[in-house]
Amino acid sequence: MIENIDFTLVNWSRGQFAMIAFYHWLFIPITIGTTYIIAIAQTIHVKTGDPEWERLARFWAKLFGINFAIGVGTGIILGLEFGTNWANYSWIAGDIFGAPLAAEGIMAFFLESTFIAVMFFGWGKVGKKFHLLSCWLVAFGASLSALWILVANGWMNYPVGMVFNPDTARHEMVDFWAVLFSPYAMNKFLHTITSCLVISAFFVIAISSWYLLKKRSILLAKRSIVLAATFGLLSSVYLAMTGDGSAYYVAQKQPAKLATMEGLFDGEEGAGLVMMGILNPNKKLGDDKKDFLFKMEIPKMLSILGYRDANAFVPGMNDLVYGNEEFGIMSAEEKMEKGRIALGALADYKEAQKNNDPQGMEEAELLFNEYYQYMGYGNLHSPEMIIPRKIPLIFYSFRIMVISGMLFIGVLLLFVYLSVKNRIENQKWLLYVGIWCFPLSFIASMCGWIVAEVGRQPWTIQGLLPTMISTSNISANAVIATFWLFATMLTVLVIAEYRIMIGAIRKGPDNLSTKGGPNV
Amino acid sequence: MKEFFLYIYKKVKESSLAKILLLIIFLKFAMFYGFLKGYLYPTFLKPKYENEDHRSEEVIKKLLDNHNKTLKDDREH
Repeated sequence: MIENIDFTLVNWSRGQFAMIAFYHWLFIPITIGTTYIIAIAQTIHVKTGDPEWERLARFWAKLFGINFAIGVGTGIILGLEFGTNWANYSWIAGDIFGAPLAAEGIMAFFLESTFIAVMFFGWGKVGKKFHLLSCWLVAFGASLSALWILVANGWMNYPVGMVFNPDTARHEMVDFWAVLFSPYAMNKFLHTITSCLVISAFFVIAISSWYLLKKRSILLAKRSIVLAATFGLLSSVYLAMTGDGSAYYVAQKQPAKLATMEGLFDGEEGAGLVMMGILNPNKKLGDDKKDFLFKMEIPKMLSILGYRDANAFVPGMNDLVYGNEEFGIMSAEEKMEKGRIALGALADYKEAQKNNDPQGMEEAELLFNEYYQYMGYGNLHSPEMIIPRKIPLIFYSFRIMVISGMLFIGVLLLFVYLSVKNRIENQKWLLYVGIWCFPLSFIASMCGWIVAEVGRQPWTIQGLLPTMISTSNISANAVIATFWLFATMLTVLVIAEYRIMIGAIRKGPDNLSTKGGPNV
Repeated sequence: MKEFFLYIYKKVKESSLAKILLLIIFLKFAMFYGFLKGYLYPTFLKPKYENEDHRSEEVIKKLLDNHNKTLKDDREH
C-alpha cells in the first residue's frame, strides 16, 4: 500500500537499535546502582572507623570497576546510529534530543570519569572525607548521566516545550525547563533509576548469597546482604510508587499503550486491572470475539491507576481506533484527516515559499499550526496502525515486570528480616532465591523497556512522527550488515565481562587489604 | 597531582586485572571512535547531504511523499 516505505529497512533499524540498547542495558543498572551501595558502605566506615566496611566498599568497587570498564562506551554506538539509521528523526528532533545527549556526555565525562579515578585509586592516598565525597559524586554523576538520556526518551513519549519550524522541518526547543521537568520524563527517570537500584541490590545479594552458601567471607557477605537488602527494599517500594506514576501518565498521554498493556479492546467505566490472563490469540480489532481465554482481575483498579477515579472510563483499543462519541474520543480516521490537513498545509507553505508568496506562506502556516498536533497521523495509512502490533508481547511483558516487582518486595523483606535476626546463613533456599532474583530483575527491567518502547509504536515521537518516516535513506543491507557486526562486537564484550567478573567473584574479597591502595 | 597520577601508573603496572581492563577500554574506543566513527560511518553508512538546506528538503520530501502516497491510495479506494 505504501511502496515508498522500505519496511525491511525500518524493521532492521528498529531491531538493531533494540539489540544494542539490550546489550548496553546489561551494563547500566550495575554501574548506576552499585555506586550508591559503595558510597553508603564507605560512609559507614568513615562514621564508625570499622575497617570491614571499607573492605566491603572496596570489594564492590572492584566489581563495579570491571562492569564500568567493559560497559563504558557501548552507548556510543547508539549515538552514532541516530546519525546513520535514524537520520530523519535526528534532523526533525535533533534540536531537542541533542541538548540532553550533550549534557549527558558532559556529566558523564566530568563527574563520573574524574571522580572514578579518585574513588578507585584514592583509598589511603587522599583524605577520607574527600574520598567519600568522590564516591558520592560518582553515584550522583552516574544518575545524572541517566537523567539526560531519560529526559530525551520522555520527550519522545510526551513531546513538550517545542515548536515545529516549517522552514527547516525541525522541532525547535522553546522551553528547556518544560522538556527537563516534564512530569512524564521525571517519572520515567525516577522509575528507571530505581529499577537500577533494585537490580544492583540483587547483584550484591546474589554474590553475597553465593559466598554464604560456600561458607566464604561470611562477615562481608552478611553485611553486604543487610546493606543491599535494606537499600533494595526501600528502592523496590519506591519503584512500585513510580510504576503507579507511570501508569497514570501513560493513561493520560498514551492511551493506546495503556490499552495494549491491559489487552483492553473495548473501553469500560470502572475498568479492572488484569492480574493474570491469557489473551485470545484470535481476537482482532473490531470483532466480537472474547478478549481473554482466561483472566483474573482486580475490579476498578485500572480506572483508579489511570485516572484516580474508580468509575473513570478507560478507553480500549477499539474506542481509540474507531472513536467513541459518548466519551468524546476522536477516531483515528479523524486524526488522520487532520494530520493530512497539517501536511497539506506544510506542502502549501513550501510551495508558497518557492513562489515567494508571503501571504500564502502565512495562511499555510496558520493552518499548519492549527492541525500540527495531528501531523504524524497524516502519514498513517490505516486507522488500525495507531495500535502497537505486538499486543501479546506488551501485555505479557507488563505482567512479568509487575509480578516480578511484587516478588522482589517480598524477597527483600525476608532478606532484611532474617539478616536482622542473624538467621540468614541457615536459610539455604532463600540464598538460592537471592541468586536467581538477580537475572530475574534484569528480565523484569528488560520487560519494562519492551512495554515502554514497543508500546510507543507506531511513533518515534508520540503523535508527531511515525517510526517508518524516521529512518535514513540508506540501504537495508547496510543496516543488516552492521547489525551482525555490532552483535558480534557486543557479544565479545559481554563474554569478557562475564569471564572477568566471575574470576573476580571467585577470587573473592579475602585478598583485599584495608590499608589503602587501589582496588584492582 | 603529579604524584597521584604516578601512583596510579605504578599500581596499574602492578595489576594484571587493571592492565586487561585498560586494554579492553583502549581496544573498544579504538574500534568505536577509530573504525566506526572515523571510517565506517562517514564512508559507507552516513546519509549524504550537500548541506543543511538539502537535508531539510529531503526530510520534508519524505514527510510529504508518504502523505501524498496516502492521499493517492485514499482516492483509489
